[in-house]
Amino acid sequence: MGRYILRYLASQSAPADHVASIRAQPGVRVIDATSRMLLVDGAEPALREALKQLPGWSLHEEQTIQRPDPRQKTD
Amino acid sequence: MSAKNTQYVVMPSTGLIASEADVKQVQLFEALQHTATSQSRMHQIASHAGAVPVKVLDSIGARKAKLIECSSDDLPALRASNPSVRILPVVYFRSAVARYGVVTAAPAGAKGATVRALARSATIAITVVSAATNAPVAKATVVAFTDFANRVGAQGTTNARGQVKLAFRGAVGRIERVYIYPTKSYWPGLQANVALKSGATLKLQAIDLAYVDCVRHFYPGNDLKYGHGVTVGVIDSGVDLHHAGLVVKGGQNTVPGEPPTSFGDNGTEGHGTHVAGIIAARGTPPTGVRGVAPGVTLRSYRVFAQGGDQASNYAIAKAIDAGISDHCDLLNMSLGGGDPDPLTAEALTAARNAGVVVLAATGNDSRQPVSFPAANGMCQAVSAMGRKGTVPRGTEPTGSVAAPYGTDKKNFIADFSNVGPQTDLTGPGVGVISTVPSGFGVMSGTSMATPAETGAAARLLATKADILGMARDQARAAAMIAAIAADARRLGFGAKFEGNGMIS
Repeated sequence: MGRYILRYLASQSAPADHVASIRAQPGVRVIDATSRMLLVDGAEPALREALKQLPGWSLHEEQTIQRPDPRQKTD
Repeated sequence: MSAKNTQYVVMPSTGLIASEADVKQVQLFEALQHTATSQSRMHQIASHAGAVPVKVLDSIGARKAKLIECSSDDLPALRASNPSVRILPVVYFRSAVARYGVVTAAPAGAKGATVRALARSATIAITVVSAATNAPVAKATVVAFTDFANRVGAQGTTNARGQVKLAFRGAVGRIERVYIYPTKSYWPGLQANVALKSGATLKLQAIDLAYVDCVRHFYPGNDLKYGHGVTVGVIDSGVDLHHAGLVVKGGQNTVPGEPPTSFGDNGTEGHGTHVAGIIAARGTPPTGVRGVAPGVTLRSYRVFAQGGDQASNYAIAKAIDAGISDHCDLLNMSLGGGDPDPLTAEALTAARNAGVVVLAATGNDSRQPVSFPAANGMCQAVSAMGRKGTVPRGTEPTGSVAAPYGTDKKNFIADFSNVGPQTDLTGPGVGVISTVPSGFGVMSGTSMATPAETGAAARLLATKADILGMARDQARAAAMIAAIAADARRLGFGAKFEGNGMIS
């Protein structure tokens, strides 16, 4: 399990039936959503399998970056 | 071509094959393909700076990637004049050979007395006060290095009486450098090669809001109307919505689980508020500061959690999408680091396709390669420069002076700035006075250089109604980038340090 992002690549909103299909996947919990992205908690293999039936989506692992801080620091 | 010829890969701005929908893109790829099969393999590509000679070394296919060679000095002009293509450095991969590293508790070869000295500890209590009034300075971070090169030393934060105890590992002789970072109202301090003893007092200079820092040197006398008609989104840690010098017209908090309407400052160091002030602060010295383009419509997209210092790629992509939906013209991303992220890259491409130009900081890793997302071809990557004489003596930004120097020898590329072939612009980013929550503060970084150029781009574009009025698509973004490149002036640092230079 992990946090993943599904993004609909076309410029318009994701099709409702696609979103419903993703939400209905066993073991998938939607944490946040926009018109073209879903942040989900789930298993990557299951998500990849689900997206095989849903063209136009990309799948990414959630990553973070650090707030920039140019101040000097000790190690 | 000069001696500094370098190989690059030319690709469409999106995908791997030139799109029939983009006539200019297809024409360029077909022309390069024709040259790839010619005897001389030399081709002239038009740019705002004149024709750029390139040698076409290889081609994957008629409308597919081309391997070219050209002068690295010509790269910024080439890129700015051909925004429908990506011009990427050739990357070479090495085998994944594991290398051993060492964790040094003591310098290599240290024995006996040295090791025993390092095993001891020493605590030094110092006080930080105002140079003018001797009032204690609370919440200031003090960082003292006994070995600056190896980042060995001690650090702490002052209490309400301005006092801090620095706990060193090992005996303390002279301190190579002491940095003092106040939260606001004072210039950060720097003292070098000092014999710091308990009971010592370190003094900080108060900020004079009328002081001509590097941003005001290069962008003086900003009219409140500068940038009017241009919408700028700041993707950052939020912007203080109650600061008297700032007018935030809207925005969104894109951090999952937090209220979308909470796009004010996130309660950390005020990074986003400082960035926003460089672009759009509307104050008047000596009671306030003025940004480079105070007339813009300012929007805040908060991607760092409340009290947190991490931003996810989801929050960033969501913020970019929101900026597109809100009809931002420019997006400022004073953030970066980590591996290239395909999700953020997709969002950046979406922004370009929606006629939005993204300016991003090259990073503060001291001459390391340009960090992501600035390194992505969809961003205008901004390095940081400074100017001697625009920071008071004895303050921390004086430590950022480094080669290369410009044609005007007072100008320099900040020692902390990342640089590389992806650099598009350089901006003033050493010792910048701007807004912070409930006051004013000084910060340095490519984080500061980027909004200076975002502001300069906004006030330039405000005079280009023909471009702003274009349909919101890739051609609009291309026209904006071309206008920015045509206006920018090189300062004599060299292309990898400054790209097309500074917007004038």
